Amino acid sequence: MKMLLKQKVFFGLILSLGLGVGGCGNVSVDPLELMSNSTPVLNSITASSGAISSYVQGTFSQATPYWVFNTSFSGFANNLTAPASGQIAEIGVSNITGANGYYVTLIHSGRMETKIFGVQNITGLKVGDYVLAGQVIAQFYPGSIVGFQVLYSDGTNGPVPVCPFSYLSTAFRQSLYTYTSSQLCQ
Amino acid sequence: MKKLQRLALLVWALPIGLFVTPSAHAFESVEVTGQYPVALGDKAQNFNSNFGVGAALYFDRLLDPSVPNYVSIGYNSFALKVNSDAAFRVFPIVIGADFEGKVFSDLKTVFGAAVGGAIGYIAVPNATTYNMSGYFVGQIKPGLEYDASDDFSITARMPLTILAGKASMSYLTYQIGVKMKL
Repeated sequence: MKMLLKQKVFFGLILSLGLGVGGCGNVSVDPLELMSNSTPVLNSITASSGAISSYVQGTFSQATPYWVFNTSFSGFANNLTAPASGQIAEIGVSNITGANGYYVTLIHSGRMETKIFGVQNITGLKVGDYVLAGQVIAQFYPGSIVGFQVLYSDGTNGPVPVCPFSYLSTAFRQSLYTYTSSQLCQ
Repeated sequence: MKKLQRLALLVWALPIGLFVTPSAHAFESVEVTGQYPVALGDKAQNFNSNFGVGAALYFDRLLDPSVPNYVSIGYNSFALKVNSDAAFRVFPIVIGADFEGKVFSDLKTVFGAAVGGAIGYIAVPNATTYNMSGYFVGQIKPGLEYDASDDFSITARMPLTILAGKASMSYLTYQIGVKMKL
């Protein structure tokens, strides 16, 4: 059957919709790529490995399901970096004792998100923005306390805090070499 | 890129406008639906379902007089298990055809097949930016339609929607609707 002109135009636009929509948007990652089942390797949250001077809070435990670090007073860049690529899901007021300022929640995959506490001067980023691994997201006051939490969802239940150690990159683990495993995770 | 999105919407307004302009028998009927999507595949465990809605316009039969054609738009949402405040939202727009078969006097089976596109993004509370991504959409839509009166039908369908872009996802939707003749 012969198609009218407007019908040909309509079908052509149907095809162009898929092509056009596929290329539209300011996204640098497909949301469905972000929601994969992967558990990304987490890099250091500080731009300089020496910026973490000592471990303050005690081991990761059920009572304190996060790590807390002292940061160096001087000699190191006071930038906080995204441990892995992801989307900023939340910015709020930090509720970890000593880690004053804000916290940032990053969704890294369909299974993992991280929170960084004690954040100051969030660098022009907003909730909903996508960041790359290693991208500077904020700063900390030199000598301040910074907290780090990893939350993992097994796909059945909601996310629960887990000890970050097994998810860290080799370099990040090596930067914590002065601590024993029992000092870091319980 | 927001300008490109606006341009795409404008471009899409043109053909929709062509069919909306007053014309005898331009549209046969309109359907409004309530939807409950369930994610399938390897990503299914990462999502909880939220209720959604949809609408379809049935119009002049393009290729075969006995086969109704439709354009439909939907809104589906999946809460993220990793962050319950966030959700993956998708708006599929498809054009397709409905193949009908009679069960008995007022009840018939319907099988729709459609293709189109979709926009999806992850929505988080208080977000001021939205990283939207586009997908090709393929959809089959089997179901039942009951003619409650000459002008009014009730539909129950289970569309299977496949989103294909840089990544892909498929989901099955439980859909109940009301269809009214124009």
